[in-house]
Amino acid sequence: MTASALRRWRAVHCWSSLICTLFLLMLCLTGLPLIFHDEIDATLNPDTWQPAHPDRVPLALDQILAQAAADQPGSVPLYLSFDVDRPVVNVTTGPRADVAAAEMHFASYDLTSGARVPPADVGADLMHVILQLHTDLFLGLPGMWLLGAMGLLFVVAIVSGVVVYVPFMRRLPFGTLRQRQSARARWLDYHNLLGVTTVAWALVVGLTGVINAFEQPLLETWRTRELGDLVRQADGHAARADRRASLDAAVAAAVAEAPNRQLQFVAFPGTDYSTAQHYAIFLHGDTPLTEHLMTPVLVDAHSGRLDGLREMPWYMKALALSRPLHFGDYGGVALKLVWAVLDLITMAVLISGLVLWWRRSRKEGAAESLPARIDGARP
Amino acid sequence: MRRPRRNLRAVLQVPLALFGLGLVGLLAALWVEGPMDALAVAASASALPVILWAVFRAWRAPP
Repeated sequence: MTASALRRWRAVHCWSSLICTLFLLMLCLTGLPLIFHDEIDATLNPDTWQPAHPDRVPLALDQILAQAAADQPGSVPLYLSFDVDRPVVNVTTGPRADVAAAEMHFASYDLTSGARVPPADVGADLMHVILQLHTDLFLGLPGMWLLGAMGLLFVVAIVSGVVVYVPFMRRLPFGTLRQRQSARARWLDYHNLLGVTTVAWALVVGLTGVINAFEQPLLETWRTRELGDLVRQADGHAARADRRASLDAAVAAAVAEAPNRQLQFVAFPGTDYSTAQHYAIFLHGDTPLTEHLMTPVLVDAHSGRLDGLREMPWYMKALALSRPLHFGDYGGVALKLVWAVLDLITMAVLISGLVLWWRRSRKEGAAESLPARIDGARP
Repeated sequence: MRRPRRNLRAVLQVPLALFGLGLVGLLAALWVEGPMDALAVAASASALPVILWAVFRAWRAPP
């Protein structure tokens, strides 16, 4: 590599890192408690709840929906999801189908009795603040895009960092830490060692973070491209909430259409994950990989007619897989601990990079002011 | 005395091995279950013992 090319790569590494460093430090800091959000929730909310009739056949989903409608008069159901380890169904409702997340109401019901399950929300406010900071800085979509752009800069910084690493390490064995040289050499050696050993993790978490940040445009693309024909058919024929077909029958038809898949959640007509006239019934696979991949089956909410199974396109599969790969919650507590340590190491890389830049700019500033001082000292 | 320059392969062989092992571990942990999952998690953590080894070696180095 020529000297000028190396200078250019160093400038790319320096400025791409500098611009995103403060954002990334915030993301690393807020990401740490999010890695352990399940454990934090379980500690703050010890689960003493038991189903009323553990041996009874679960109630019909239509019964639960009727109960939720009675509890929230004037609201419409938006989403229905299920707890993994207990017979509980979660119903999200709102005043309209296209309501913002802040106006949604969330309630959990015992599938064996229809009774409300007490919310496990101790510490939920704090975790919500941390999650909002991590995903959109409380700025909504512009915040998500800003953090997505910072993620892209992070990827540029990693790639340019590896390019710069190569010529620098030509005369040093791998893993050299020059403890007895200048402080700058020590900082640089730690920055290089920690950075280059964690490239794979940083790239995976950075890229999946970028994909997550662009969730809204991906969802919109999926709705217009993949569900386009159904959305067009539904124009002006939005399914009225009081004249809908049985949800239980719709779910049964969907499960029959896609064997070896299990019900994960239901999106009601008009929500982000469905069309104006369909129940979108999302099923997931039963292997470790396919349990992250969802397949929607669309059922006409007025007639109960099955309109077909729509395999998710590649970009929606990428979005689905990017969530576990970003948060590290797919391999048990051991993987979470690895995630936490690598997160702390990334913070050390960011801070050491900042220190190196600060020391270098101070040194250059001192070198530039030296001739002026010498000139000023002349009689 | 200055050390001799190493070629690209020599400079990148350890970082590339760690990159490959880490990446395979991260993706494999998504794919497998049971004892193989523990192996995949260990592979994704391959950077950690290397960092500890470098720090220990620098700490033990003669002045």
